[in-house]
Formats: sequence, C-alpha cells, structure tokens
Amino acid sequence: MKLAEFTDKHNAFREEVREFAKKELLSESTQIDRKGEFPWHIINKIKERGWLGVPFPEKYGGLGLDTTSYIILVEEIARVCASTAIMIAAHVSLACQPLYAHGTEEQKEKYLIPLACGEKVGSFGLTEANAGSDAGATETTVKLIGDKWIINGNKRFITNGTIADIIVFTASQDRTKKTHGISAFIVEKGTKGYEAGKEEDKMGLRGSITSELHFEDCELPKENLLGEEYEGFKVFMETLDGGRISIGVLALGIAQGALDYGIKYAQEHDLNGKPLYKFQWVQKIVADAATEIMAARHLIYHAAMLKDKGEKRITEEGAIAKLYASEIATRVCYKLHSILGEDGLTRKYPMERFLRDTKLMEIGEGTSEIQRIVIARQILGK
Amino acid sequence: MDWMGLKEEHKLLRQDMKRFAETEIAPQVSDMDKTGEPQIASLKKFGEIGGLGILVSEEFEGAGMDLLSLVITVEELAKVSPSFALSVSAHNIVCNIILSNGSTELKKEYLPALATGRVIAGMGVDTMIHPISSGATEEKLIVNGSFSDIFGFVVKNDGKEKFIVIKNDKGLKEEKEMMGMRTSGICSFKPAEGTIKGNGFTIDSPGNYYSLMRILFAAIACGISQSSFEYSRSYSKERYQFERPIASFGMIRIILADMVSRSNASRLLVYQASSSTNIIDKEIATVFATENSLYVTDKGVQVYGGYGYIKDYPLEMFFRDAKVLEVFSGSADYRKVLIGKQLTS
Ligand SMILES: Cc1cc2nc3c(=O)[nH]c(=O)nc-3n(C[C@H](O)[C@H](O)[C@H](O)COP(=O)(O)OP(=O)(O)OC[C@H]3O[C@@H](n4cnc5c(N)ncnc54)[C@H](O)[C@@H]3O)c2cc1C
Repeated sequence: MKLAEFTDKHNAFREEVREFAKKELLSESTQIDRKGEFPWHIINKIKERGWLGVPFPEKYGGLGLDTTSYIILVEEIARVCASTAIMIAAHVSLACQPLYAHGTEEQKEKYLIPLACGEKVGSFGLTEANAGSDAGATETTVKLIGDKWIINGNKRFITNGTIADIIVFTASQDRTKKTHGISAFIVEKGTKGYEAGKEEDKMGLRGSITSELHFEDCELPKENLLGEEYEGFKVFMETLDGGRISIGVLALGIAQGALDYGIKYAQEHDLNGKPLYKFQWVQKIVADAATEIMAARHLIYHAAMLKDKGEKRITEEGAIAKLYASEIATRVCYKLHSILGEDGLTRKYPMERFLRDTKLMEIGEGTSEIQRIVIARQILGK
Repeated sequence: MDWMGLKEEHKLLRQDMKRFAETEIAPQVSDMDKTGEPQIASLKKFGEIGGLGILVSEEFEGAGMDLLSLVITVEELAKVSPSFALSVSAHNIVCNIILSNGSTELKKEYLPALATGRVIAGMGVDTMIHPISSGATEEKLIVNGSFSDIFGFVVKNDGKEKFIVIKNDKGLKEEKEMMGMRTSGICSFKPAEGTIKGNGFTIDSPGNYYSLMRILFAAIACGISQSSFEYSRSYSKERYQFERPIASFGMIRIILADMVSRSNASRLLVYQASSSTNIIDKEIATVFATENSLYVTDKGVQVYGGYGYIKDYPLEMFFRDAKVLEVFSGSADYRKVLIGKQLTS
C-alpha cells in the first residue's frame, strides 16, 4: 500500500529495511522463536546500520530521521520477526525516548549516545507485580540519604531486562502521594544492589527477553534522577504516548506478515483439487484482512506524522491506533491461520508464530481496556 | 448451568470425571505441556476406571453408556487438560467404529482390551481442510501416535471409505513442535505406508465416524471455554488494580458476560446435538463451540493481562489448544460453507 504522505526518503528507507529483513532475518525468524534465545547476531547487524537510534539527532548518536521512519523500521522488522522488533521498540521508544525528552545534557551524553548508536542496550522498568495497569501504584521505593538515592523493590515483565546496560525506571519517594510521589531514575548494569532476575516463559515473542529487575539497597548518585523530582509519572505517561504507536505498528507488521504468508500459501496450495485462493471463504478472509490492515496502517502513520509535524502529545491518536491495530491483528492472524489447516499447527510454517506473537500487543504498554479508558477520557472528559 | 436433558447418571458421571481430572491429571498438566510428554500412565488408569470404553457395551467390558456420557467425560477432562481429552476421544472413536461396524470376531478380539485400556488406540484426524502443494502426498496426523499400541485411520478409494487399523510399530514421525495439544502424542503418517502386514484389519464402511469425531472436538472446546471462563472469573476477583478487584470494572464485567454466554450456548448446542440423530445439528454445534472457544480463550488471556501471556498461568495453554482444535475440526469458515450448502440443498 502507498500512503500519499510518505516522502521519497521514507519509501527508500522502507525498501532498505525490507531488503535487510528479507536477506538477514527471514530465514532466521523460525529458529529465533524455536530456540527462545535473544538474537544477538541479528541485533549486531541492525546496530551497524544505526537502526537502534533512528529518530534521534546525530549529535546524540542517532540517525537523525523522523518518527515516521522509525515506525517504518519497526513495521518492516515485525513483518518478519516480532521478537527482534519488540527489542528495538523497547530500546528506542521506552529507553532512549525519555532520556532524549527529559534528560540533562550530561545524561544524554552519558546514556543516550551509547544507546542510540547501539553500543548499549536499553530498557524501561515501570510494571511491577502489583502495579500493572495501575502503574502509579509502584511499590519500589526511593529515599534520598545524604547525596545518594537508595532504591528497594522489584519490577516485572521488563523487555530486554537481563540484557539491558541502561535501565530507566520508576520508584516512589512518597507512597501516600500516589502518582505524585513517583520519580524516574537511571540505573546501569553492574551497579551494586541492582540485578536483573528471572526471565518469563512466554506464549510468543520467545526470542525477546522479558524479565524481573531487583533493587536491594541499590545506591544511585544524585544525578541519576531523570526529569524533576515527583514528576516520574508524567515522564512515563509521555513516554507511553509515543510508545503506543510502536506497539501498534508491531501489531500491524505482524498482521502484514501473516497476510503476506497467507496469500502465498493460498496461491500455492490446493484443497480437494481446487486452488485455495479460488474459494470464496478464503477470498473473504484475505480481503477482510487486507481491509483491516489498511485501516490500521492509516491510523498508525497518521499518529506518527502528527508527531513529526510538531504535535506535542498524540494521546488520543496514539491510543486509537494502538487499540485498533492490536485488536485487528489478533483477529487477522486467527483467520489467516485457519487457511493453512494442519500446516498451521507446527513451527514448520510461520503462521502459528504470528498468532502467538501478536496477542501481546493487546496487553503491553497499556491493555486494550486501558486504551479505551484513555480514549474515552480524551473524548468525554476526565 | 444446568440442562434439562441431563439425567442423574450424567451428573454422577460428571462428578467422577471431574475428580479424576483434578486429582490425577491436574498436577502434571503444565510440565507436560512444556515437554510434550504424553500422559500414558494416566491414560492407563483412566482405562482401569472404565473411561476408555464409554460407548462399548458391557458385553465387551465397556461402560455401555450413551453419547452424552462420552461428551460429558471429554468435556470434564478438557477443563483440566484438553490434550488428555483429545487422547481419550481418539481412543473412544476407534472403539466406536469397531463396535458399530466391525464383525463379531473383531469385536471380541479387540473391544475388551481397548475398553479396559490394556490396548491403547490412536486415530487419524481428518481435518477436512488439508491443503496440499501440487504433487505432494497427503499426510495424516495421528493422535496418540507416539505411544499407542494400534492406530486407525480412514482412507478413501473411488469414493468409498475404508477404516484401516494397524499395529503401531512406534516408528511414526512425532510432531514435536505442535503449537498446542502437546501431550497427545501427535505423529504424522503417510497413509500410503499403511499396509496391513498381517497384524491389522480393515472395516469397509466405517459409518459416520466424522460426526462422532467432531462432536467430541466440540465437547473439548466446551471444556476449554468453561474452564477459561471459571479461571478468569476467579482471577478477576483476586486481582486488584487501582485498589479494587478488576472484576469491579465495567469492561471486565462485559468480557466475563461474553465469555459465559458463549460458553453456555456452546454447551447447550453440543448437549442437544449429542442427543439428536440429526447430523447437521452436530455440524452446527461443532462450528459454534470450536469457534467460540477461540473467542473465549482469547478474552481469558486478556483478563489475565501480562499473566495471560506466560506459561505459569493456565490461559496461555488453553489459547493454544483451542486453536489446534478449531483446525482439527476443519476451520470454522470452511465448515460454515458446508453447513450453508446443506441447509439450502
Ligand atoms: C511480553 C511482555 C513485555 C512487557 N514489557 C514491558 C516493559 O518493557 N516495561 C514495562 O514496564 N512493562 C512491560 N510489560 C508489562 C505490561 O505493560 C503489563 O503486563 C500491562 O500493562 C498489564 O498489566 P498487568 O499484566 O499487571 O495486568 P492487569 O493490570 O492486572 O490487568 C488485568 C486485566 O484487568 C484490566 N484492567 C486493569 N485495570 C482496569 C481498569 N481500570 N478498567 C478496566 N479494566 C482494567 C486489564 O485491561 C486486563 O484485562 C510487558 C508485559 C509482557 C507480557
């Protein structure tokens, strides 16, 4: 599909990523899922191209491209391997982005540059066992003792957890103040008292890492505060505003990957002696999928382009795009999967992986229910 | 949910099956799903208590019960382990083909051993939709193939169906990477290899085994849906966010109401169909129940949030098992086309 608003540069960038995904990733993606190991060899190639810092200025180690280009990258990678794509999404929009938006010059120098140029891996620790949708209920505490922050608590479900060198996370300075008691911090791997914990055994995205983080009397220097004191919640809400479209585009990419595969499959296989694609029930599945995917693509790029045009917050547009894309992606994968019959049931064919991978998109970075609440608040008032 | 058509004996049977599933199978479900190791010992035990010959008459050491009893059995097992329920279904289908269409000698030779579980049977699933690339030979998936003593499958020749049963020399290719139903010992097999070699037999017209197979798949779907709903309901009461149980949120309540409506409707259709002689009733019930089990498990995962996505909680497995079942019963949209055709011809 062509969107009227893509520039030649966007189209060229998409071609470049697509070429890479076809050449370097397509033949690996099943193995990545099967082994359930983080694909370092792929990430190293992605890093060489500067794709771990697409939307940040060159002076901060980035490629200096726009949000739309970054979204194109995630779409084209997710189309082939969602495990790789979510690693990139968490690194760029959840770790680099808050550093870029709220970090001091020193923090950008020290943390954003190595992240954006791909020397280091980033992650974002918001969720806890008792603070999921209600991220403001953070039980991780922080106290300022002398000139040091002392952190105690545990995070759960953190993408890139065990492999991250630089982690942006939240802790509460004053739990009675709820969301207004939260501040954001930066911790580095190897800091005493900080350790990544158990990795989750997941339905899908099995080549990506999701783990716990543990803080036990972890000491951080004063300058590791990110943004203003007590404004951590705001930092994260803003981060998630932008983060949503990267989860939305992950869903879009997966759905497109499933459609690509479904089309090829229907063209190459027969059912009772008749080509599959000549059955109306197959045509309906493919046509519905193509329609929903196109609608999702418009929503996602609309939100991304608004951001590129200088819109500060894209809360409503981002939530709508994420909600729609993630829900249609699950449906599309279910339906396309059924074209394959028995061939859909094992890893020999990628279709069942698309389905297992995409379900997360209705949960991560705010569940569908939370997106509906966000949208309703924007439209109906608080 | 209760249904008028359930007799006292069905209710008692349900209790027994529930007890067996919860004590015998439940403790190992999660581990076995991960390793894909079949629950052979449990299957043997299930045979000892009469679960492997539900439809087989007492004359051949079976339980001599009706189809609704088998449906209830399979449904209860599926609430705990859909994969175990699938194994039990496959075995019982083979028994029933022999019972309904086999010669007296065959019945005498095989049924007592099958009904008591001394011999375990596997069965080829006919998904109805099995696309092949041109020139390729068709493969069948054999449930229980990795461990059964014998297995049966249907072949079509000149429009005529034959049910072939052969001794399992355990040389079948195991499908180790099944997305779901991972403990059913599913293997692939090319029927062309199915020569009888003196240690098997053939039944010339196997009768309407399709319809039995599908109604049992539908019963598994019902078990999956109901269990997913029950788990989600209890989870929504225990899980607190925003200082409230998530069950107190309108959107979660809507999800739960949708889940239970579809689950109950599926069960009623399946019970009714299994007491009906009308084949199309079974077709309709199967499509409805299997397709809705996709919906119900999907929403169940949603209620669990991040915890629905990981293997420490039950919804993740139900989600995968339901999808396999839908394919096994022939892909919902394809079957709807066939139903529409039957309704209008
Ligand atoms: C693979 C994976 C990767 C992840 N990566 C990260 C990461 O990098 N960083 C990070 O911080 N987190 C991450 N998460 C966590 C993710 O963001 C949370 O799982 C998600 O926000 C939901 O929280 P929860 O799992 O606690 O579910 P809960 O909040 O317990 O939700 C359970 C159910 O209740 C519903 N619900 C909750 N509140 C309401 C309400 N007010 N009204 C209506 N319904 C409600 C939810 O929609 C859901 O259906 C990841 C999770 C997974 C599974």
